[in-house]
Order: sequence, then C-alpha cells, then structure tokens
Amino acid sequence: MKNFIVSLILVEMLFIGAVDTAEAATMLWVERLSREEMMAMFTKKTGESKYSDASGKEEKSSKKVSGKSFTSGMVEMFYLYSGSFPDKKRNNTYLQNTHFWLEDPDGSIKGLNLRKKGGPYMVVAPNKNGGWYQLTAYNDYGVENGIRFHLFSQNSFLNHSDTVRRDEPEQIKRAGFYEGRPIMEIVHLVEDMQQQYVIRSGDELRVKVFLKGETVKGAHLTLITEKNWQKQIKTDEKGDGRFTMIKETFSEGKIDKSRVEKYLLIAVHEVDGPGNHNGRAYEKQRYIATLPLMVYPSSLDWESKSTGYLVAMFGIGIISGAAAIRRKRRRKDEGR
Amino acid sequence: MRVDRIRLLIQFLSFILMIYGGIVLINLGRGLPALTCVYSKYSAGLCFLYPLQRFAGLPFFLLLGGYGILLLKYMGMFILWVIVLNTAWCGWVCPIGFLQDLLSKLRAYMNVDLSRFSWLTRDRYKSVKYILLVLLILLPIGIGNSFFGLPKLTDDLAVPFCQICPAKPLLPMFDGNFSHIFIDFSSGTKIVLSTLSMIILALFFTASFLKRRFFCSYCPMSALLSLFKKTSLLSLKKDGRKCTQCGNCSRVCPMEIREIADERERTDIVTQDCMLCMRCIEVCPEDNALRATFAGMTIFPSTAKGFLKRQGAFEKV
Amino acid sequence: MSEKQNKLNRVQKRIKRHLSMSVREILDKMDEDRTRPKNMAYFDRLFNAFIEDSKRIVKKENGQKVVGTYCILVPEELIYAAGAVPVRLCAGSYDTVENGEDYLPDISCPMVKSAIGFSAMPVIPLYQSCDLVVIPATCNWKVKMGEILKKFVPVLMLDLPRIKESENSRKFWLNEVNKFKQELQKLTGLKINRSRLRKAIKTIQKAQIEVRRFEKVRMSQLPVIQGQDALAVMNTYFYDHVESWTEAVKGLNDELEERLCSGKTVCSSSAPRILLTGSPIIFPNWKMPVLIEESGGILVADEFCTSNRYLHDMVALDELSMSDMIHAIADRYLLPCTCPIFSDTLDRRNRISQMSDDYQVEGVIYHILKGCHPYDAEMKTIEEMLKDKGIPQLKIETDFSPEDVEQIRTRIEAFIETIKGRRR
Repeated sequence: MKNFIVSLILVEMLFIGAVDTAEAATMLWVERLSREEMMAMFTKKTGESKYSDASGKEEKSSKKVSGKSFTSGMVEMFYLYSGSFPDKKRNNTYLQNTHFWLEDPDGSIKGLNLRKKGGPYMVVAPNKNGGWYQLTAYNDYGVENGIRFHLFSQNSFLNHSDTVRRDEPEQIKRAGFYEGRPIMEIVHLVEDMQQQYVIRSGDELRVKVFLKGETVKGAHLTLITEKNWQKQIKTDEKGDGRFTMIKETFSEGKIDKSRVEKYLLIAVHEVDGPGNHNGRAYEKQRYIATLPLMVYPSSLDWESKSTGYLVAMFGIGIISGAAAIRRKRRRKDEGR
Repeated sequence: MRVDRIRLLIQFLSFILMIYGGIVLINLGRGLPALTCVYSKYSAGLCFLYPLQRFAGLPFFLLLGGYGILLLKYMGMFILWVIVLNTAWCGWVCPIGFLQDLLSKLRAYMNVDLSRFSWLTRDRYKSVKYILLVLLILLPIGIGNSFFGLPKLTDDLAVPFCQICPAKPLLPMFDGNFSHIFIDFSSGTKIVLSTLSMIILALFFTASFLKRRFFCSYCPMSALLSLFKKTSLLSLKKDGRKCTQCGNCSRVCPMEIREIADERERTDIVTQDCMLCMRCIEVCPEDNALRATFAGMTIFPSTAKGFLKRQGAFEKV
Repeated sequence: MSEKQNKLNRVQKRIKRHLSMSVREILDKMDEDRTRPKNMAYFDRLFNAFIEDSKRIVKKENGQKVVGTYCILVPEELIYAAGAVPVRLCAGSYDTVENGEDYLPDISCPMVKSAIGFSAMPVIPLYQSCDLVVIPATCNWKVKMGEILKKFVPVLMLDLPRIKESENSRKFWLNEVNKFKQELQKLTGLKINRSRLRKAIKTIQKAQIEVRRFEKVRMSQLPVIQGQDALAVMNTYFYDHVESWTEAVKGLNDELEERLCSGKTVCSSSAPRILLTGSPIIFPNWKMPVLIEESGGILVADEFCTSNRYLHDMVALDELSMSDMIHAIADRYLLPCTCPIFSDTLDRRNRISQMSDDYQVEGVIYHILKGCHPYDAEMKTIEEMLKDKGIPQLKIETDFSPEDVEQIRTRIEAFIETIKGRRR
C-alpha cells in the first residue's frame, strides 16, 4: 500500500533534471548534526559526557565563540560541506573564507567567528532567548570560467525556550548581505505550524527565492535526495517553487518511525552583467543558495485507512448477519 | 412530565457543547466524567481517562514531583463533578451515550425488535469494565516505570484505552476528521490495538443498534463513576413495601438492571450500571415507590397519574 | 324424552329456580338500603340479567366470539385485540355446586364445582355458549377442571410457572402468551396487529383509571359506599363490556366524590374498617360482605383476585413494537400477581401491609373456602405480618352453603366488638 502511494508520487514528478555537476561542485551547504551524532561526538572527544542529556538543554559551554562566551543555552552543531550532494567534502580550501551570520528570533544578526578547519562548528542559543534562529553562511567564491559565483546556505533551528528578547536590530555592514538580509535567500513557506517543525514525506514544500530583497522569477530549483534522486523546476513570477517530498528508503519488516532522511534544496540564479573582481573579468554573476532539509516518514508509511474501513465494514456485516440469523431462528422457535 | 424527552434535549445540547464548545472557547477542564474525547478538535472539556492514562505513564519520580499536583487538580475537579451529578453524566451528558440513544431510536422507528442480554450473560460480564479500568491504569505505569527489573512496556501502549475506545474514531467525524479509521502497521502492538479499535467500532454500531446502551456495560468511565455512587448528591431511592413487583422498571431499563425490581429491603438502588436516566420512575405505576432525590429532597417521584398520562391513557382511543 | 333426560330437566329447572331466589334475595336487600348511591342501579341491572335475561348478559355484536376465562392471568388485551369478548367465568352460586359434585370430590374448591355445574347444565346459557374457554394452570382444581370442562366446551390451558423469580420461568410465560395469541387469531380469524393491540390496551387502561379513582375514594375516612356495593361494581366487570362499564364507574365515581364533599355516608364513620382477603367472593355468594356490614363494620378494602387485584396493575408500554407490547402484557399479568399458587408470599404480604396503611384498616378477615389449600397455607404468614403491625385477623373457613351464616355472624360480631374495644 505504501509502495503504491510512493510510486504514484514518483510518477507524478516525471522529468528528472540534472544539475550540472561542475556547477554543483561549487556549492556549499550547512548541515546540522542530529542529536545522536552530537552525543557520539562529545563522548568521543572528552571520553565522558559532560553534558546533561541528549536534548542538549542546560549545557554549559566553555567554548569561546566570536569573542563572547555564552551562558547556558541550547547547543547546535554544524558542518560546512561542499561538493555534490550527497557526496560531501569538508576540506575544500575555499571554505575557509566563509562568513557565518546567526539571526536571532528578534531579528538581530550577529557574525560568528568559526574558522575551525573542517570540524563541526558549535552554536549556542541562550535559554533566555527562545524562538527560531537562522544560520547563514556566505562564501564569495570568486570568478571561474567567466562567471562570478556567490554561494549561500542557510539552516534554521528552534530554541524551545519561552522568553523572547526584544531588541532593535543593528544595521551594520555584513558580507553577503543587502539591506539587512542575505543577498540570496530561500524562504520556506509554511501554512501549518506543524510543518515548520517537521517535514514529512508526502507533504508539499513551498519555497520563495529572494535576491536582494526581491523575488526571483525563473530561478532553477533542484531537490536532491541522499540516494541522488533529483528534480529540477523553475520558480514562477512570484518566486514560488513547489515540491512534493518523496520517500527514499523503504524499510523491510520493522517500520522505523523516527528515521530521518537528509535532502538538499539548491537554488541557482544567474544575473547578466559584466564586471571585474579581484582582477578577473566576468560576464555574469551566479548566485547559488542551498537549504538542507530533514524529511521524516509520514503516517502514509504505516497507516492504512482502507484496511481500517474494510475491517470495520466487514465487522459490521458479520455481526449484523449473525444477529439477524440468530433472531430469525429464535423467532421460529418461539413460534411468533 | 416526560423526562425522557427532556433528557434527549439535554443530551443533544450537551453533545453540541462537548463537540463544538471549543469554538467559542468554552473550557470545562480536563476532568470530565464523560467520554468527551480529546481527539475532537473543539471539545469543551477532556474525558478524565486521558489525563489519567497520560499521568500514569510518567515515571514515578516525576509523578511524585510537580506533575502529581496537576493530576490531583484534575482528579479533584473530577470528584467534584461526580459528587454533584453522580452517574447522570452517563445518562444525560456523554456524547457516546447520546449516539447510542439515537441508534436505539432509529431501531424503534424501523420497528426492529430490541435484543436483551440473558441474565447469565449480564452477570458474567459485569466485571469487564473494572478489568478495563485496572488495565488502563496499570499498562501506562508499566511504560513509564520498570517493575522488579523487568523491561519497560513499549511506548506503543501509551493511552491504551483511548486507542480502542469507540469515541476516538467516532467523535472527530463530527469535525470532519475521518483520519482515525486506520490500521497501524508500524509494530505488532499497534496492529493489534488498531484492529481492536476497528472491531470495537463495528461492534459499537451493530450492538448498540440492537441492544440499548451496549457499550455502557463495558465502559471504564462507568466503572470509575460507580465507585462514588454512594457518596453523591443525586440518587435513586425505592420504597420496597409500595412495590407491587410489576417488573416494569427493569423491563424498560436500558442497562437491564434487575435490582430495581427485585430489591425490597434497601432504599438506595443506584447500582453499578445505573445511569440515572429515570425511565424506571416514569413507568412505575405506584405512588412514591421510586423517586429521584437530590441531597435528600425528592425531585421526581413516581405517581400513578403521571404514569397514565405518559402512557397516553387519557387521550381519545 | 328418556327418563334420564327428564331427570336432568327437572334438576336444571330446580337449580334455576333456586338461583333466581338467592339472587332475588340479595337484590331485594340491596333495594331496601336507602343510602346506596344512585349510580349503582346500572350494576344491579346486570345482576338482574343474571337471572332474568341471561342470554344477553354479555353484550356482544353478532358474530363476535366469546372467550371465557378463569383467574386473572389470562391477558384480556389480546382477546379484545383479536376482536373477541372476554367473560370471566369464575362462579359463586351454591346451587350449581351440587351439580359439580358429580365430577369432583366433596372437599374441593366450591368455586370450581360451581363452575363445572354451570358448564355441565345450561342453567344460564353463558357458560355453554363460549367459543373458547381459557384456563391458566393455577391451582390443582383448576388444572383438573380443564379436563372435565373439555366435555362441554372447547378448552385451552395456559401453562404457568410457579416460581416467578427465574429468567426461564418468565421466558416460558412469554412463550405461552405468544401461543395464546396464535390461538386467538385462529379462533377469530382476525390478525392481532399493533394498532388493535394498542387500542385494546388503552381501553383497559381507561377502565383502570376509573378503578384507581374508586380506590382513592374508598381510602378516605368517610365511608360513602358499602363494601358489598364495591364488590358488586368490580364483579360486574366479569360480564360487562369494558367501555360501558367504564362509563358507569365514572358516573359512580363522580357521585361518590360529590358525596365526600357533602358528607353523605352510608354508615357511621366510626364503624370499624375491615379488609377482606383470601379465597375470592363472587356473586351470588354474598354471605361475607353482607354479614360484615350487618354486624356494624364497613368493608373498606379487599384483596381478592375478583375485585382489587383484577384491575389494579397496569400494562406499561415502552416501545410500540409488537414484541415489546406482548412482553409488557406478559409481565403485567405474571409478575405482580399475588395469587398464593406462587412459591413466594412476600408480594402478597407487602400488598396487604401497604393496603392496610393506605385504607387505615383496623381488622382483617381472612376468608378461606373449604378445600382451598393455597390460601390456607398463606394464612399464618399474613397473620404474623399483621400482628407486627398491631392489626387483628379473623379466620373464617366456609363454603357457599347458607347453613353456617349464623355461626359466622356471631364470630364476626365478636371480632368487631374486639376492634371497637381496642380503640379505647
């Protein structure tokens, strides 16, 4: 049953475009570690778990990040990858020049100094500031083959604390930003609050692509799964793109409700116009932004409504049939 | 006074209130002694069994800490509701009871004869509802805590009674939510529980059509309420000497309680199944043989004149 | 005509003459009483018809079947719904007893002997003109009577459980009622459907409304009607059609209620209030009520299957489906029945206890017919119950013959004096 539904979804998205691997090689993305991976990392590094429990709350961080030391808060760890999804490389040299910005729920944007080579970057969201945080990475790749590349990636996470601090966002100059927002940004549009937490296979993903604060028409949007299934569409006039999330893996036997799959959404847009950067000339600029996604299995995998209806109808039929037969027999016995 | 018509009206209004009351932000708390399901989106109050199961599923140290106070608060509200209205919650408020009464009315309209339990059946299965009540408290405790070093029960058994209760597929239907009719294949426990839920739903429809208030004989909420029936304000009393043993009361009783007719010594006849629908009082032809009391004062006695009026005996033939 | 035929004719004529004489005697005495309510004339006429125009005792339309019944366990609603007319045939005449003694031993229920006597010889045409006679298997004599009566009329026996408390016995009785329904449909050719049954139930309920009013009147402290008249009213229900009987009782009730307001009584309000219970008293066996009231007491209540118990309990309808109505009827006829043929006395004890409270009874006279074992067996328990309440009981064992009238009168007078004495 579940295979049938998923194959329907696959048939629905027939044309499979391929993103040019050469260009894909120049993209980067920020991937969040899952809790299990984080716990494994800490115990491996320190030999013991200094941190209280797997939820990551109440952890005291002694690392100094960007010159400030945060007090207790929620810890998230990120890797910065480049390469073609899902093959990833961590050690491309150009990754060293990536700027990181963390946007607080109240809108203030701070830069993060994360120059550690390769290894996971740690971000702490303080407890007294709850809400959605967005981590933006910007890399000015430079010019290659006459095209100027700008690479963006963003990742959001929710800090489950209650209070939200209200601060005036500071307006300072940030690399890769245009008037307070990243130059290129993919915004995930949600209708149901539940979808903001968790995307399930079968759900529809709606995104809007912004470039310098304006929606982009005709940007190439590509969705790639871990097993390298891809689909490519273009954004419409309003900058919207829609995807239906597919299911990649099928478990034999036991159904694992908590198995998460990592997908990547890549937006590519080219702007014509010659220019010069660091002594190299280019004819057009290419902006590439990525949005990593964690997709969870949906109840379509393990629930069967039709079987439920069948059992209920069958049950009603059998029980009323048995009751009717018994009544008829009793009526005959009593001679009514 | 046609009490059964008044009761139908109050049941209808309670149904609307309990299913749609949340739209106008009515909240009667989480300790309601009726099956007002938590799965219906706009319910005006939650069935107490749901918080009971959820709290029972917490580990002991959490329960004995702050969460226990919350449970005590819900339990306090529950006990307050029960002391005032006794099992009239079953007969006058519960939405599942209303649906069963509607099915019975449909059956009477279609002129299908009703079915009754035989005395043996009724006596034999009297304890099922208590077993269900004990199970729905014990199983979640086994999920949150481990006894004697045995492994904890699987998480799939959380809120075990809610997963098989017929209210879960039925009441959300009135919000347009049909998503609770399914078989869940994710694990063996879930398959068993969801299949049971479907079978109980099928049984609910057919058996409540043929026998009045079929489900109420097995409802653990009724078992919980019957623990308080002696201490509550609303009650049913009988004068054994006035009774002529005509048997009308137990014949029209939807729960088929024989003790109303057979009991001659005691005055308090609210038994474990009674839902205070007052049908028995309506068909008792002797003055003051049966009466409903609230805090000791008689609010509805049986009278010969009232009986004849309700039978339509004064109308033209 | 053969010798035997001649002899039978003579016997028949003699019995008829004696019957007329005893009825006439009672009616004349009733006439003398100036304090009787005027509306009693209707009932007197019926008793008159017993001897004068006995062919028309039962008002039936042409072609309508007459179903004779015994005891109070035969569902009359079904008979009306099938388009027939029920007549209760329990008999009270001393004169036909001697006729019945050809068939049954001496020490047997005089009522059964009288009934057999009526059925064996056409003294009044009623008994032999029944299209069907229904006898529930209550006491031993009734069970044997069925076999004897088969020679004269078609008989249907209804089997009865003696222990009411078990589920099987109730199911058994329900089956018997269903079988009875089939037999009736076969007899009249008319199918008993829901609307006819409902109509029949309602008709009888109307009669029961009037009976309840009548009971309420008798409960009052003012004795506005004599006990013998009250027994007469209930006794005429045996032969009369329900609707006209109801009308007559309604008129009587109105008159009695008016009497309550105006204060017109039939005897002194200080007359000792007596309850009569035991073996049934049927016209023209009027010995007991007449003696009680001639001795200065007033018969305010009675617990007989021929009067109070006959119309007191009511059919309670829940749903209007056929099986539910039949179930209601079966329950009404079996469960509240306080006949001593059932194994448990508790119901009858409670009923008499409640009645003695309701009617403010000061003394109970327990009337037992010779050979009536069930009532005899229950006497001691009733006596104990009454002793706890402080009410004296007098046991009178008699039969239909007028020979022991004076002895009974002495005893009753003494009893009434005792009651008057206890008051002081």
